[in-house]
Amino acid sequence: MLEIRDLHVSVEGRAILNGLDLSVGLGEIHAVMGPNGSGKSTLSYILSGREGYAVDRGEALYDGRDLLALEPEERAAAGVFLAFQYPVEIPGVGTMTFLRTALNALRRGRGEDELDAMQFLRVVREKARALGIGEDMLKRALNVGFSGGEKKRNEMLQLALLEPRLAILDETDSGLDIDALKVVAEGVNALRSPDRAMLIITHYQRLLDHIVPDRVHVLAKGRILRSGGSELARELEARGYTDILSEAA
Amino acid sequence: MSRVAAETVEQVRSLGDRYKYGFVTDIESEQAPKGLNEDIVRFISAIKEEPEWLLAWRLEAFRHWQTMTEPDWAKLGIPMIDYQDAYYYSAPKQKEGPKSLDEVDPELLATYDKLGIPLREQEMLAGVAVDAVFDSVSVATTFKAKLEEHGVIFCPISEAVQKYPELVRKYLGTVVPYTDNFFATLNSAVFTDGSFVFVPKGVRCPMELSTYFRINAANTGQFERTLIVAEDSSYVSYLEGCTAPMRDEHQLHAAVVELVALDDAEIKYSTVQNWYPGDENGIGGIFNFVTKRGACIGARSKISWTQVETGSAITWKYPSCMLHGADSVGEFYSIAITNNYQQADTGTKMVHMGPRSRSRVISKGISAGRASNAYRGLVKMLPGAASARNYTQCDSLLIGSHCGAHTFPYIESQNRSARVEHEATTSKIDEDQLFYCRQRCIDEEEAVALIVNGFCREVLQQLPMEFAVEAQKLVGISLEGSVG
Amino acid sequence: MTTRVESSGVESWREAFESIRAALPGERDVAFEAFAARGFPTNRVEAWKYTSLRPLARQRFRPAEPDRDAVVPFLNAGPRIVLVNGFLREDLTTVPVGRWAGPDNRAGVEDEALVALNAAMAGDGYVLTIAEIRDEPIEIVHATVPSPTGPVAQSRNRIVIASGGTARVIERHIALGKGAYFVNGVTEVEVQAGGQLHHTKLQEEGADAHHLWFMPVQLDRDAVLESAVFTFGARLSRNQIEADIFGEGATLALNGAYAIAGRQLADHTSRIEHRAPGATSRQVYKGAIGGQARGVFQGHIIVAEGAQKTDGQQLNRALLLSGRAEIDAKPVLEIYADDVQCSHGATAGDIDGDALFYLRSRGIPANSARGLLVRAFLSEILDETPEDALRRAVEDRIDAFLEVGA
Repeated sequence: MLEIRDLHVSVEGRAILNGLDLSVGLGEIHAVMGPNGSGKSTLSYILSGREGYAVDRGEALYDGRDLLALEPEERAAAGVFLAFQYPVEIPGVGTMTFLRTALNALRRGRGEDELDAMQFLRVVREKARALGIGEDMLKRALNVGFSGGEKKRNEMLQLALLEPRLAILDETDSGLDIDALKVVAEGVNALRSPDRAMLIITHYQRLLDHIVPDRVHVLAKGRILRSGGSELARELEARGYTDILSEAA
Repeated sequence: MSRVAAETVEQVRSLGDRYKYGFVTDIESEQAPKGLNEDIVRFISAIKEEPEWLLAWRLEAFRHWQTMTEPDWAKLGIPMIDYQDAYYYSAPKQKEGPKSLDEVDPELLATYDKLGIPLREQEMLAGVAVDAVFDSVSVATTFKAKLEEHGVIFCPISEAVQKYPELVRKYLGTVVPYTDNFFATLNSAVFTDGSFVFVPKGVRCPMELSTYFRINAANTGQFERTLIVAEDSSYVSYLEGCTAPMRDEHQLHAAVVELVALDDAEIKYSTVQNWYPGDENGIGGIFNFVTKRGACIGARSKISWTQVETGSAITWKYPSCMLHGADSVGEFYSIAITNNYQQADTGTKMVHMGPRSRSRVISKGISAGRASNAYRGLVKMLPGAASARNYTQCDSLLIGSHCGAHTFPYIESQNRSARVEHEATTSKIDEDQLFYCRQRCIDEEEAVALIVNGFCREVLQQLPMEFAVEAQKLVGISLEGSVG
Repeated sequence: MTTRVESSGVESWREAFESIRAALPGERDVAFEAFAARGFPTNRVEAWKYTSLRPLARQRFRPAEPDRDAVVPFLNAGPRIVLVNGFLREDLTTVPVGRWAGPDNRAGVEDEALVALNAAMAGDGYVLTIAEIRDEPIEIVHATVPSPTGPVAQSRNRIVIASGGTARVIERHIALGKGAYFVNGVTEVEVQAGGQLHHTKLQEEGADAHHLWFMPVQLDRDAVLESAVFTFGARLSRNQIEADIFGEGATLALNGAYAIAGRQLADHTSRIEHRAPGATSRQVYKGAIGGQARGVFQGHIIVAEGAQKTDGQQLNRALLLSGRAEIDAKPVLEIYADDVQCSHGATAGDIDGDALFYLRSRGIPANSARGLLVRAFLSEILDETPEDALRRAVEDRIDAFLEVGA
């Protein structure tokens, strides 16, 4: 469903991705691992449409459509979801207001009826409970004053609520203690489905102990240097990135 | 609450034109001859059958006005106003003053229906009494009987002059004297109607009071005067709304509002100002030059101003509090949105005289298009204001690179034990916030409405429930066309 | 708004101007007429709302004359420039400097009546040009000898930091003796691309002095100006800085600390115009006000259209230490570009009661505790200053203030 071919991306004239190829099929979970500065976050931003990234060459096809030509909200409507590494705080905007606005915008895009207040409340409560999110958190302004763990759980709640076809998790494990990590992993595992693909971007292997990927890719210097099964993650954990980087060099 | 952002956008989409109150009511009206002179002042006074003292007061004001010049200190480009090229009195023709709502011209009732203000009591928002002012006169006041049971007087000020002359005479001009400023002086000479509210000692007004101002006739200025008196330990919440037809020429609105709060009294005054702002090229629109001031005369009295200013070509208003009473409280919560070629210079004065008096100023200015938006405020601690406190927060948001946002605070303290704190920030909408919303499928215009509503939340929360939702929608509509 | 001209004041100044006109280099009449047309500003002029110069207009002053003999005390043994009564003392000056040679009619500057008066009557001034990196601070002393005739000292000075140059400058303003006098000076500052100037001003004028100093600043690309002013002296003083940031990426820091008592008035006025993108300005002004003194702060940040990525911050705090002390503040933001981060903050009030109580509960007497807190309050500005001698001089002034003022 996602086909990235020879993708070259630069930021302010500085090349970040240099010919990245990646193919993800429906129902699969892929992990992209790499050292700091390898271009991991750039990959998540370029797929979701953040401004400031120039595509110099290559393409990304999503269900055969040119993903990179779409506006961010069009990609979201088409089912692309990014769980942010640093979820954004929006003062004054209630979390519930935000969730409902997003969900109804998405439903409109899919040609579905919008949910009324009661229906919405029911859905969101159920999903929040599963992730251990209290009413109190939902009443606060979006991400404002949330702890790192609360922010990440809020991202997972949005993932569960918006039910994307392609979920990109950018360093979702960073800043989480072991209990929170388990909650997040359970949330993600519960969403594994033959109708959904996931791209998990991470530096460490520990999240992959809980979410076992179908494929693991090593991203460094802006390209996929190696791909393999889930065992590759453990190999990386044991040996570090240095070996692979020197092999490639 | 949570519906709003989506609804806002729908509403924007459904509106062929952004300003949905721009229609004209075809109604026969009675006008005084164009122009301004002593005869016009006498005419207005005569048609209202005013007592001699009021005519004398008006004439003094008019004579004083002739010696004055328009203020030029605000950050506004005001085109020359020809004060002789306007009508100072225009009223819809009615056989007699309507005795009850049943006698009000159906055309007028229909107009207010269209504005979303049904005047038939059974159709109204429960708990809100309305005084409807059409051009120069009040055409209907609802729930008068129910209010009278509680001893609350709510009527057109011209009616109050007849029925309660001693009350009007006691308080009129005590907070805003006729010499106060160019526009207030003009208003004192030619004011035609407005609302009068009197809440007697110990009474908590059982419903929201509301005045709806509508300018309809062409070339007509609206000069209303509102006077609210809250006696000891009483409470009243009052809301005004304003709209006008779309016209290519500017129209002048110069109102005066005076509030008096005695011991332990509280007045909450909210405004949703949506006068016609002019078109996207800056043609037409209302000049809104308003003097609003409250006197916290009594100990522990409280006056709270909340305003949502989205309309008018030019807004010039500074709702203020004179904090005479010990432990008195003044508040000013403001949202001012300017788009296209709109200009606003608005803010407040908090003058602390009483010991332990407190004031709080929260101002949110949003500027888009080629608009100019200025906060101007004075916080003054006089020697008597021992242990007084002020906190001021002014935030400005800029949308687009051709607008301006300005902050002009004046802070004067003559009391060491008084504490003044002022903070101001100016920034644009955060790109990361915008992207986060868009990644969640919320399009740019809706995202801006959402973020701006969040930015304004502290002020919106101050509005009475019935109007908060309306105001939120207005925030989104006012910014239509400002992004992308 | 038009200024009411105090004609009597202007006439006596015309007399004074005529008396020295023949001896002055350059074209002066245009400048004097610019002053005469405006007269001394009163509080009807918005920029002078809180500081009226009406009393000055009524007083008679005579142009100060050079004093070749006065003994001038120095802070440091290092390089120095010395002016007495507004005239350069070559015998005491150890840094090579140029001399000001009359007005060059720089556009705009003559909008201010007092600057026009200076342009008309200034008889001398230094021009300091730095093109290299100088670590040792240059001490610039402006000394005035009071006399019963009420001398007015007007010098016009200029500091130019050329590209690649870096300098430290300490400007001191002192009185040599007791009595009334009036100082109306200008120091033009120009920092060219990549240049850096670290400037400190220590104002210790006499108790009966009037001190008006105007500092127009121009900053080119990546230029840096850090300026701190310490105000202690003069009955009435105004330190006015107008900075024009026309170069991208420039950095400007304007700080100030003042401690005033009695019937002193200290006015710190700044106007920073960001005309180029990506520049930063920072301002922190703090004042301790005792007696019946009055502090005035006017800070104006303008961000012109197109000056995107401007970062402008401003803070003004005043401590009112007596029941009759007063502060008037007007921090203005005027913004015409959207991608900016600008803010200002202002506070006014007495010493924090909790802090005072905490110190007293630890056995520190009330007076010492207050002194400690006032010193701590003002020292934030001093902390930026690396000069030991200067630091000691400022601390001494704060101590002296605490004895009489607080």
